[in-house]
Amino acid sequence: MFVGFRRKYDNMTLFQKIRLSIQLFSVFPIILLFIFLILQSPVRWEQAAEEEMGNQMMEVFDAMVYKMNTIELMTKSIFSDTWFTAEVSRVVTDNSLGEYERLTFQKLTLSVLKTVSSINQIQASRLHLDYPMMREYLPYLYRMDRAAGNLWYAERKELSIQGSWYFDVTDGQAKTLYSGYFVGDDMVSYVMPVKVTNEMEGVYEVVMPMMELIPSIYEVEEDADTILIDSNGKLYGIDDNMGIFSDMAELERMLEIPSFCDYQVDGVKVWHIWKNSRPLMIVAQKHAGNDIWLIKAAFMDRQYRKGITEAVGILLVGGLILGVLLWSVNGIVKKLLNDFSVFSNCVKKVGEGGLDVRIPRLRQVEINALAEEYNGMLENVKKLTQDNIKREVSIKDMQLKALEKQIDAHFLYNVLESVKMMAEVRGMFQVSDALLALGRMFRYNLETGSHNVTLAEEIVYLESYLQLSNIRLDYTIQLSENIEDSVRALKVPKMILQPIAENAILYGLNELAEDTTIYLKAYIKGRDACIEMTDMGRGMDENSLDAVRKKISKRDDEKKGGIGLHNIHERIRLMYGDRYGVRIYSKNNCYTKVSILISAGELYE
Amino acid sequence: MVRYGIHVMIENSDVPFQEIDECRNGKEAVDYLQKNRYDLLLTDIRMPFMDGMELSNWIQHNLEQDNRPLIIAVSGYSEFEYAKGMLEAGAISYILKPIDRKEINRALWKAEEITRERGGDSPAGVIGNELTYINRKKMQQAVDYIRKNYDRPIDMAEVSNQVSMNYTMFSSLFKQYTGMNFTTWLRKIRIEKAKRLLQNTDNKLNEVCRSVGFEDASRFTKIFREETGMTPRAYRGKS
Repeated sequence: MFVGFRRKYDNMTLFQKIRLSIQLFSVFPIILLFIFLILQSPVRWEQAAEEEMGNQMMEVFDAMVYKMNTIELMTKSIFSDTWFTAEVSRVVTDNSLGEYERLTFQKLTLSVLKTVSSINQIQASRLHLDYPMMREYLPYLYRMDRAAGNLWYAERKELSIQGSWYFDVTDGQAKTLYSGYFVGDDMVSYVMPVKVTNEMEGVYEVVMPMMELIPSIYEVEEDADTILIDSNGKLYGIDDNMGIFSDMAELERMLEIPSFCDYQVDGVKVWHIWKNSRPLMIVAQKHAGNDIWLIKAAFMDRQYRKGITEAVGILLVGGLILGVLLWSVNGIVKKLLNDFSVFSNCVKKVGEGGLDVRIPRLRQVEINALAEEYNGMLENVKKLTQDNIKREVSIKDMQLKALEKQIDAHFLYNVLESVKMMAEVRGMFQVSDALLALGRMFRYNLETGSHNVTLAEEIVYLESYLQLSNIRLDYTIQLSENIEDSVRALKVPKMILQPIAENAILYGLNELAEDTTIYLKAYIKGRDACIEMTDMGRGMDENSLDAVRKKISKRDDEKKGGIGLHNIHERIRLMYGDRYGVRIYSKNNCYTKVSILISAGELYE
Repeated sequence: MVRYGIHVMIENSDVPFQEIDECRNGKEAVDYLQKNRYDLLLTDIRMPFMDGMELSNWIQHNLEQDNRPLIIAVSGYSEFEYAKGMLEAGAISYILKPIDRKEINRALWKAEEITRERGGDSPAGVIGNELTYINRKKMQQAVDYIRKNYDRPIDMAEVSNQVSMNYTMFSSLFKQYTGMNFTTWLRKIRIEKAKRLLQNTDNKLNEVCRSVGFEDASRFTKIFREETGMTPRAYRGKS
């Protein structure tokens, strides 16, 4: 699989590779980040909820402890006052006290205890003395046996001197046991053993509603319940509607704790469990001094849902950001690398044969620099090519000129001149004229300057040729010209008339060997110029004429015979176009006419 | 050789001239020009020491308008630059080698016309070399020689050689002595002889023309007619 991937990678364009790399490298950390965020999300809400509930719990706990401490402190301060205890013992033991004293005692002395009961919500502040037949001073002083039904009565002898808290003390107790005031349900009392004298011991009790001490457990909260576990393991404040748990055993089972009473913890402890497929968080704090637990259990559905939503939200946002990132990376890389595709397109065009293609100004600095260098290189190549061509041309030129020099035209002309003079002075004018014609032919052939001459010059050449031919041949050929003067300036290719005449002599006239005339006609027709040479020679039959016509228009290059009708035809076609060329007409035993059609060039009207 | 040929051509053109001087190169020409006033200069372009162009420029810069000769250029160069150069330097004609006798004729007559219009003296009579006694003797010798050798293609160089004289001098002296060009004189002799042959013999025309030194029948006929006013055949028929 990796091999396949590797191959695929190698085949990708640079653009794709860069895009892929950038995307991978930029996406990767973002993905990590988002994964981290997503995973953190539930953790965070859990922690936040924990913290909140923990703080709440601690607040409630501290409030409770504060209240408890206040009462304990007050209690302790009252009973550390020895005057008070002395007075109490005196009044209780002295049966002979007058009513007035007793009243005073009740009103003044015992009212010390009022300070406690005057605290808001304190139901009772009473001292139980274990002294039989003692007179009771309501509402503060009572005989111990009155408290026989109390929760703490059984343990009254073993109470810790610090005091203890008993919850739900009025459970099962008659409401009107303590006359003078109504006692409701759900009370908590703080009891402290008191030693009035060595012989007289008692228990001081402060009663308050449990709701006053810990309001939270009676509050109805949605999806949460605060409970109290007292030192005996009894649970208070269970909200039955919640259905979280109903007793200690169940709680212990849920939290997987063997025994709550023995369970030690410092500060706040938190559990996260699932109850009825709902997330439940339990926060517990223990009051070490009294072995009481304050526990809050709350269903975290909402927070959980919030957490999930947050996670999903993060996921979506992450996905969106990722998408935007990928798309913009794609766009940016494309734009940056656009220059590459421009570059490579231009290079391709050059490869297809356009040396004039130049790369336009590119946006990216480095590539533009490269492009400029490339353009410069193309410029150089073009220049070099042109220079090369020029050099080639000039070399050829030079070679031709050297060739010319070899022939040394001037030497030739001068020699001819001298020989001609030798004839001239002796009146040998025929010889002199022949030499003149010869000189003209030489001049025509040796001047390789241009490939075009004027018609006039071409005719001079033809005339010279015929003149010399006439010396050679037994018969005389006259040249009859039917040409307007203006046409004589027409530019024609070199060597088009003489070869035709040569042909005429070779094929048409030699066999007849009688004095004859060659007719030359030239005229302009529209944009074209037509030159016709007619000889009154043997002519050709149809077969021969056909053969000759085929030969003229044959396509392939013939090696033999450089200057022939075919050659003239080809040259004219190459120079002027397919429309132009050489045509031949003939009538057997009558005439042969060769017609040349070329463009009139500047001469046409 | 070429200079001689041109000399003959000038003679044969029948342009009225007084004297023909020849120089070997541009420098010599300058010397001659400084010594005498000439009406016409024929010059080549490629010459040692001083070429035709330089010579023409020298003339333009160093001679007064009135003293300048007309210039005819004769050259092997057909390149346009040379023609243009010479014409700009004051040439009235530019002739290519080998020289066409018709062309040089035209140029010479053109020069004559221009000179006449300029108001130059019409060369009346021949000035220059005098017919001394010795010269006279030589001329007679020449005439005799011609009379004996007319049937061959002789030229002035041969005859002047015969009488030990350079042809330039011979040319002008002959003209003084006989009153006409060597060529013309020779022609006349030949036609005379031809007339006699036509009258007295039955020789064919070809033979006649060849025996009087003409190379070619058509030419003979043409010249005969120029001289006598009738064709040889007609002349024969007359008598």
